[in-house]
Amino acid sequence: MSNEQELKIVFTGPMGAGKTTAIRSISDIPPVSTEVDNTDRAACDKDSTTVALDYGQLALEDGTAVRLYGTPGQERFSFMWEILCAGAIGVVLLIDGSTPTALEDLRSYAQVFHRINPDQPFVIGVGRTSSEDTGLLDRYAQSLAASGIVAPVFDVDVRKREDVLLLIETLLCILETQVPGTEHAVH
Amino acid sequence: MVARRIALVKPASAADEKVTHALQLFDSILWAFQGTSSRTSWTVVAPDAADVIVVHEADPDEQIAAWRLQGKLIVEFAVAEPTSAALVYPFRAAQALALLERLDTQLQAQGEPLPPKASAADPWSFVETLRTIREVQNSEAWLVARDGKVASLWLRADGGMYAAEHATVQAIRRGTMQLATLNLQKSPFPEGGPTPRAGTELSWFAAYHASAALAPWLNAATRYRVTRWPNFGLIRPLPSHIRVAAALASMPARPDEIAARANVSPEEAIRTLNALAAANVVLGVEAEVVPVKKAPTPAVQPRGGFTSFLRNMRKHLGLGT
Amino acid sequence: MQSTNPRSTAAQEQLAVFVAANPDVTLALVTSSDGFEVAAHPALPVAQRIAAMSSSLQALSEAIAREAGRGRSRNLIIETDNGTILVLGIPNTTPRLSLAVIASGSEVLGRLLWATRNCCVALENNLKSQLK
Repeated sequence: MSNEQELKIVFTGPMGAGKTTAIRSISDIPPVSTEVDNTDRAACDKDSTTVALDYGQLALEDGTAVRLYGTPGQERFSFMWEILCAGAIGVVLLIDGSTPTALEDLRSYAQVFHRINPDQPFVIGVGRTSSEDTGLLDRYAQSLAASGIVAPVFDVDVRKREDVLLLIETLLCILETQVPGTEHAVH
Repeated sequence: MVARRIALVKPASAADEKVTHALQLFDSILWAFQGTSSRTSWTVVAPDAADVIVVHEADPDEQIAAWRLQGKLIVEFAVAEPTSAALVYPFRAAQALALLERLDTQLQAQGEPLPPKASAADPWSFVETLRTIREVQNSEAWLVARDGKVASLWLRADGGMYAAEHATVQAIRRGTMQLATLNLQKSPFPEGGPTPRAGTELSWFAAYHASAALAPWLNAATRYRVTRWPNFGLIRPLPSHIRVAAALASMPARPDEIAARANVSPEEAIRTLNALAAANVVLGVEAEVVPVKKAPTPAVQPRGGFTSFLRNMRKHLGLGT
Repeated sequence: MQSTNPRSTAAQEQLAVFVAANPDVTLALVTSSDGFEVAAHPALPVAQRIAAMSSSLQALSEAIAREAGRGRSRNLIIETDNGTILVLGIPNTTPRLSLAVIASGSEVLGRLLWATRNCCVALENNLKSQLK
């Protein structure tokens, strides 16, 4: 339920995809994290993992606060996804393109969020892809489109602020062309 | 109908039999071309009577120079790399025909100082070439695009990647690069050449800048929608491009409806639609009533209204308009 | 993902004792900080989900205590319509473990908290000695 000032953007995706990093790239405040030691190195070889949420913030000129939330990645924390996405102005899905399950992950996360809220602006950033196969993400997008999901799928490096901004700008453009009142009547 | 005359000159001395094959190939292309153009016809004649002379690059320079002095246009071909010749055997019919078209234009302008670029060149020829290449799917070989003798850019033979000096890349993105008159030939990618970039960036901006008019394969009365988003992570488009893509992803629109829907100028709208079409991501829709992506409920209600929220957000993040 | 290592067996036994001594407790479980169930009594199917949620709650309560500058979070107490949920960190465990206890309404909060804290101490001692 969004009240007048409650504006939030959610970053989600499997573990290791860069959600925490992405928020850190653009947040005005040092992000609050709920990272703990990762005991399941077989699933993902990372020292730490987010178990509740990451929290960052953008403080706009007129005093509006845009909250940035990062969800935990693992499926056992999927209850957090629905909690955090409720009322969000958009969701950014981040995928690690170097894992063998990248396409699978992309499809399953996209389908979960599409089910939770089919009309919510949704963009996908894929990191660590090989620079040789420049048609890879087009094929991912085609795969999603075949399931009825038309969402941007972009090559990004979330350590770079400008790449995270590309994803945010795309969310804003989707929002802008969706909201009634900002679009003119079509004859 | 303009009648052009062309001579195919056999080699002066005994040469590689490939040279003969190349001439035969050209001859068959000319024969197949007959009757297919309403503008120009090409007839094979003797060199003295010809407007255009096709000759192997190894032929004696003095004879070629003499023909040039007579105002004839010379087309050199080669049968092996490396070369700066316009055609390299085996060449494709499309290449030879594109060449004839350019020659036709040049001949039209005969009498005026020849412009370095043929101003009547088809603005869509380069975009078409890129689309043809993409179907070839040969990711091993590279092509070089030359403007006369100068190499402007390298293109992987499947169109997946391209490379050019920084200044050239900027020119391509800004639309100040003359792409229509570039010649593409096989060439190995040079050691220490510029870092390759995604080919989609080249085809996007080539299509965007090609023309302010609707592309020949689009229809002003059709509603178009975006079937999938192009990979903007590789293309790095202008913000207006993203808005047009978003508008067409959420609801189909006719070319003249896009400007209002996406909050861009009419010319921006057409150019971006052209680029989206060249990227193969638009489809014309038949039905008048198409499901529209609705805004999520409850709708976003930021303080000061939605438009000012967008403005503040973009300003805060340093995003362009 | 309940492991069958000696650590979880020891914890299991401890929880069984705790639940037997506190009849209003409906579920007690030990979880890793990253949401895996280490031991649970009784072994209910819902324990896995509760394990993940309690680790989130533990992490959030630590984060809020930090942000508020009030030291470290010790107990998280959730009072519901007809029950109580407690989440306590188990000190000196590596990796960090938590104890989550779910009790029905009739349990007096003070008594439950006291019993749960004792269970925590017992677990800490038990698990410390299980470390290689």
